[in-house]
Amino acid sequence: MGISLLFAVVGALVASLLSLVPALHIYNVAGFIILATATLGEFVPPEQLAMFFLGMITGYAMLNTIPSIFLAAPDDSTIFVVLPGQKYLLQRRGYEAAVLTGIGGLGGIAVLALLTPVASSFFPTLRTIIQPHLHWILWTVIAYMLISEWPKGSDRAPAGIARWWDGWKSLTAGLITFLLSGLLGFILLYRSLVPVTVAYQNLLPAFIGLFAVPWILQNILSRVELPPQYIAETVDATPWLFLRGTFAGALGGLFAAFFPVVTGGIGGFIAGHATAQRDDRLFIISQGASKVVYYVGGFLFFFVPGLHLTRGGMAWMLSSLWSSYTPQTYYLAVAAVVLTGVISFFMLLLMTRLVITLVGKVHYRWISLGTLVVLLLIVVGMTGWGGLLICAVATGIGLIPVLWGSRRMNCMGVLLLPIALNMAGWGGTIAGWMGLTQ
Amino acid sequence: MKGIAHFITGVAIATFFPEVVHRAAEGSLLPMLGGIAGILPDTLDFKFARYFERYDEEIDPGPEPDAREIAERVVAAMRRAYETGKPQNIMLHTIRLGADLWRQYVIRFDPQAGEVAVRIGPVVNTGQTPLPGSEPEGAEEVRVKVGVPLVHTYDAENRIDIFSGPSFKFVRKGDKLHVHFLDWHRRWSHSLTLAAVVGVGAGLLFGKWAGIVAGLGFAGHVLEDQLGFMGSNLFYPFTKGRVIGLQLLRSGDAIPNFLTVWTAVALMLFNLDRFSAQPLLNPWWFLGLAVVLPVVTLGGLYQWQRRRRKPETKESLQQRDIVSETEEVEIG
Repeated sequence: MGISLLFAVVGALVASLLSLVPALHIYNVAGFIILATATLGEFVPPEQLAMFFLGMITGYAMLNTIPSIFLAAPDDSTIFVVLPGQKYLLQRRGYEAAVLTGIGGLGGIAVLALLTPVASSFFPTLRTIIQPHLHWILWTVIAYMLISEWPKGSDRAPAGIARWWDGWKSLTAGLITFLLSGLLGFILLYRSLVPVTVAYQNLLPAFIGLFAVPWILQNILSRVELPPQYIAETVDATPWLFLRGTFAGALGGLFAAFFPVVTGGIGGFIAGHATAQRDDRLFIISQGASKVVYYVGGFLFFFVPGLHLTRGGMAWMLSSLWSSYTPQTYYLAVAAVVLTGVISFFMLLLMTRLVITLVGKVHYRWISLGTLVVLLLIVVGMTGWGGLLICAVATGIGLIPVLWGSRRMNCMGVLLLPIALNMAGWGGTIAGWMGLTQ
Repeated sequence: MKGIAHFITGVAIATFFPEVVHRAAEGSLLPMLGGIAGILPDTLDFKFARYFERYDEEIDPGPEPDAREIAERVVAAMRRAYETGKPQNIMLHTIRLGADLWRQYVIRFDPQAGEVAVRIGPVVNTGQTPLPGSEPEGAEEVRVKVGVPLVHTYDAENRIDIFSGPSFKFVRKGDKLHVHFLDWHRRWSHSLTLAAVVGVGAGLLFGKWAGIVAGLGFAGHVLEDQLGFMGSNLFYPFTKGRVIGLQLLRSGDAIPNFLTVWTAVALMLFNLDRFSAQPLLNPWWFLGLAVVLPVVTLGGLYQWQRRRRKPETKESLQQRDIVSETEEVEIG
């Protein structure tokens, strides 16, 4: 047991460092480890590797807000943290924003730990009940996502059709973004330009192009000047705020973790709407809780006896080597999550201070340019020139919300649209219309 | 209530019909239709009706805003409404300074002092983040006396910064002037008559169950809003005014919104289970733990919170209801 926990701690420490590299997803790292295991032979027993992965994903889920807040390079699960994060940064409170996400993350881990006694009875029952209804639930999420966006016109045109169209431009841009990213998703699903040998990285260039590159370009073009950051001793949040943020975040995160296809971004979106209050602190806490519950909870489902759900890339990869069946392994996994969660929180504090030192010494424009270079190198290095092409197309789509003021969330169409259409049985037909199945 | 509460209520209502649940399990999207109908009344207002509203005056402060001029123009419209008895509908425009820059300003009605207060604020970006040091020098709140009796209305600050600004309607009732915030909201769209029309329309287009689901989803929204203070024009076009709400909750409060979302999800799960071939949940345990317990505890907490609040006039609470609905958090 001690060795297993040690592997988890090492995983968390490794992830704490890797999380600082913008756009380097921990699933990509896990993919390399699995590949190395397959190629070089088993150098770590699978059960210890599982614990290592568990530590890695916990560390990653806690620390991956740092590039989102300080470098504006989010993945889909941290996309919503960027805006309030930048607001805090401009108010010299970037450290506080990172700590608030960490506090939310700790809350999320507490929720996962509290669910342990009921997990093996509750989640299998839940799965049985909703299994036949997954397709319409997914379509319902999409419908809400699209219908809940409000128009953003200036209302300066004359009252009537002209004013209506002025307001609807942003909504139309949102719908186009969803549709175009959905079409890109179809292409990636049926005929990706990413080489087959790295097929598990298929979505990486699209996600970087849709979510990270537009933010960075916007920062470069708008010449963001960061004031010196203040390291606060305390955070401005009450226990009630913490409870509300955690609870809403945990609900969104659990939904995203439990449902196939639904990712952390959707979880964050639901968490944000469930809190539905104009309070940045509450929102940031909920986002911290949501992404930890999504990543860690999703992986923990793999360990729940009687459920054995493979959600997320890490669980899929691990399932090719090892499976967990006993309650003891599950309890050990929960203990590892709690331990590594606490360690990761302190690593978050440390790493945030390091990044603040960096941001204080190098002009933010250079940091943004450097981040952009790192992103592109990761795309080319991992997925080749085909990946770079996908990234370029995705960036074009990701810039539509930036230019028209619509939701960046609509870029999630890259996953939602093809999968939802496939679940409804129409995916093949539409892929045929697009000439992707010949 | 917030959009997500209405939407999920519409979905939950749809699952109360075994036929709908069975069809959904076979590939139908009927519950989704319930959700769409559930959010439709606000969609009609916020995405359509507001754009067709005519204003007697549109105040555009321009790139060099003058707080006194804004306040005086608002007060002039208020006096006009009082003196002529003809309601005055005004809109305040935002101040755009660049692609991502806006000048913020704040307007507040102070019924206690009978004044309108305006203050010019900092430059903000589209994320509503103020740029440090952008407050205009010597910017103080300018107050202008209205000079006519004002009903004790919602007196919090109305911050005007990005995209579009707010609108106000000034109406004389008896010897007092009333301030209606966003008068176009819930004027005709939140009507049970319209719910019936939507139901019949959906029924004719997509069949009986679609009609039932859409009509009830729409009606669910109207009835939920009726729990608050403002109420709605329930039988438009047969009635003209809003029926005052039951005053059980404030539509923007966190607990009622969250409780609605939670209860709707719990009931949806319960319905999906009981209409399945082999129900797994013990109804008493499930309803007790997932519905009754949260309603009692959170409902009790909410009542306790309400008692501790500073008392507000009914008029103020009604206008707050409207304003808080427009304060949807824009995520993403």
